[in-house]
Amino acid sequence: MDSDYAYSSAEESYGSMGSEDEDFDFDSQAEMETHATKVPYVVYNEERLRARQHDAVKAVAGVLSISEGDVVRVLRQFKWDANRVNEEWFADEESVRRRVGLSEEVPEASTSGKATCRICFDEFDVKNMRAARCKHFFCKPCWRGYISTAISCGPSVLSLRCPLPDCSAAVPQSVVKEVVSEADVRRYETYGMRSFVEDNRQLTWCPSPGCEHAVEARVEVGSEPMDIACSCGATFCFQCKEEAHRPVDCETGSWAEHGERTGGFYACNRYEVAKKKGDYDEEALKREHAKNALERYMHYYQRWAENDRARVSALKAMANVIEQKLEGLSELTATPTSQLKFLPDAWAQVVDCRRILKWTYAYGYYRFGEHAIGRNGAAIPADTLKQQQEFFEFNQGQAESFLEKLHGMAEKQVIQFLDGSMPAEGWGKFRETLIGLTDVTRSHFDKLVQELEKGMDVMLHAYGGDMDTDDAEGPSAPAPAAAKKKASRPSKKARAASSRGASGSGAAAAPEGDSDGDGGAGGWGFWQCTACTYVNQDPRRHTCEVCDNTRTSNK
Amino acid sequence: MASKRIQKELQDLQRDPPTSCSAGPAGDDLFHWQATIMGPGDSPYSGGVFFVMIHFPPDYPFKPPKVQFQTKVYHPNVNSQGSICLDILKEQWSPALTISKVLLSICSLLTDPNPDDPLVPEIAHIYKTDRQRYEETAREWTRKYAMG
Repeated sequence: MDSDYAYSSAEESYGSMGSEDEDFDFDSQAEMETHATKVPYVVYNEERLRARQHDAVKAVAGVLSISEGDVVRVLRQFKWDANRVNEEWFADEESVRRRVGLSEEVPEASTSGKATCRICFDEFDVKNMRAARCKHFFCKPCWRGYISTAISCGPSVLSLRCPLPDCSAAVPQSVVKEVVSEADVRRYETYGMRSFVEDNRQLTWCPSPGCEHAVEARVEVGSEPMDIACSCGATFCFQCKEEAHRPVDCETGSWAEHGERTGGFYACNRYEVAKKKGDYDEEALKREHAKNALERYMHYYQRWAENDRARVSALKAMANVIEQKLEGLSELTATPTSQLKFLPDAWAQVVDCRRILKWTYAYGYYRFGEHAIGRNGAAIPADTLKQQQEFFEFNQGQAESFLEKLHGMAEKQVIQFLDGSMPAEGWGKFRETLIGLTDVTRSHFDKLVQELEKGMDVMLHAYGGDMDTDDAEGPSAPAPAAAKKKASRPSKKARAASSRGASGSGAAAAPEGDSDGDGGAGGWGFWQCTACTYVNQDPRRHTCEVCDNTRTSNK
Repeated sequence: MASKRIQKELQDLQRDPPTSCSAGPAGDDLFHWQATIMGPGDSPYSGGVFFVMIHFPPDYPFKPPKVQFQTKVYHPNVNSQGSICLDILKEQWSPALTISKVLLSICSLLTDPNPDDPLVPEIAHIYKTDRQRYEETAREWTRKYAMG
């Protein structure tokens, strides 16, 4: 429910047409989906964050018709949730006012007369004294002492009350700004900013050391993980602040902890629990079980770690390309470096893909373990599980081959251009293809992550591998077509063979009249690749221009 | 600021001394006071005289004074070092509070211990489960340490 809502609102804000009920169907809506997932968050630097906070305050101040200083108090009380503020305020304004200390009217500073300050016990002219949202006047030096002590005690100063112990009136910002030193006002404002980010569900600081950027989620934040790429270069999960780890959830995200650092399987508490239950009583069973479990763990862990290593080296390679190769290429191809941005973009995509791929191994480890549990909480039958695992691994392999291709192109072909073994005339074509490939790879991975999060059963069901539910319940219309597609999808080996066959020859030898079954765009001769969703412009091609996948009929 | 305010409090205490308490500088240092509290009549501390040490921080009254029993007290909110667990001496402190108000609060803490936020959990437990034993022990300690 939560996740559905998140995606649908993302789509709304970015004008996409995809609906949240769409299922795992590569063919129909991949173009739109990429837009939907593109920017569900915004990164702010300090200045922009200040402006953002001001806008948020101003918007609510307009609705509630109270001063901005008062609005800040109310907003903070409700964790900066403007909707809740509106709700509560208009349901019971008096109670909200009481809670934040805004019950009484602003005191009128009587211009004449004297009063005793109840902190220093000296007499002052009332016009030189100040009061909170109440009628208890104190002299300015005492206010300064009171407020600056509170500021040095931390952010709780934001909800400072009148110094009298039994008065709960709020100390207005105007008094704070009037009496304390400039440095203290700055600290006070910093606390205000921190509250805006830290108390607000929609906002968080970038956890990277030294980075002062804040990130606002533009979708309703639920409990599902969200990968964030801060403008400082760090990637992290909005929920757990650890490294970005979709498609696995936040708890699984720390799975390396469960492995080597806790001393491996035997030292782990899971083993202890199982031992107490008597699962390991028989010696033979114990050995066998432990061996299998360890092997299984090693299988996934090694691949996870390999991808992590590959990600780090890709990061380095990316820096290397930006620092050293771009200039040479710029000379060689007679294009300004600004036009070569597609190359770092491609590398950034490689880094991103490595990260996602890495986490799919953590996903696989937990998802297809012995005690795998479906989304409804029931155990999954073994044969279903096996089927799901095969499907999962197929997708993983598919994603991996996309990545390899992108990686190869961004790395090797660039070197070929540089050392002259590829003619510079081919550069334009190379550029176009690499941009396309980067785009397609991104959309493929985005899609994969989304679908894995929805769950294997949903994914497999929609994809045609229907096995346990009746068709009436599921998306009945696309299912049969999708099943056909799956059947006609070539195996990995066949695909590789066909790509060899097609390479170099291009589409020249393609016979005419083969334009049957071109999906939705048939009439125009465009056809969409069933593997990568790229819309091929040339109706005569037998293989996809981007991924070399053999074209298959949809009928 | 601090010494001026302490001076004023001292004048007030001398002009209008609260019942059952007294306080004043222990020596030449205005920031170091000693106070006495008479055990409240309706408590097991009745008849005892309890000595209390008060230290004013340099930023008094914006920071709370440090207040400690010098006489041993058997009480859920007072430990063997004489430290007192009282909200107004910590986060609930307000610069509008004075030493005389603090001493009055300590008096009422003697009458009504707060076993739900104890400094000595053992005493709090006895207070909650065996009130009579608590009162006897408190009376005994008072006789032993706070009289004559």
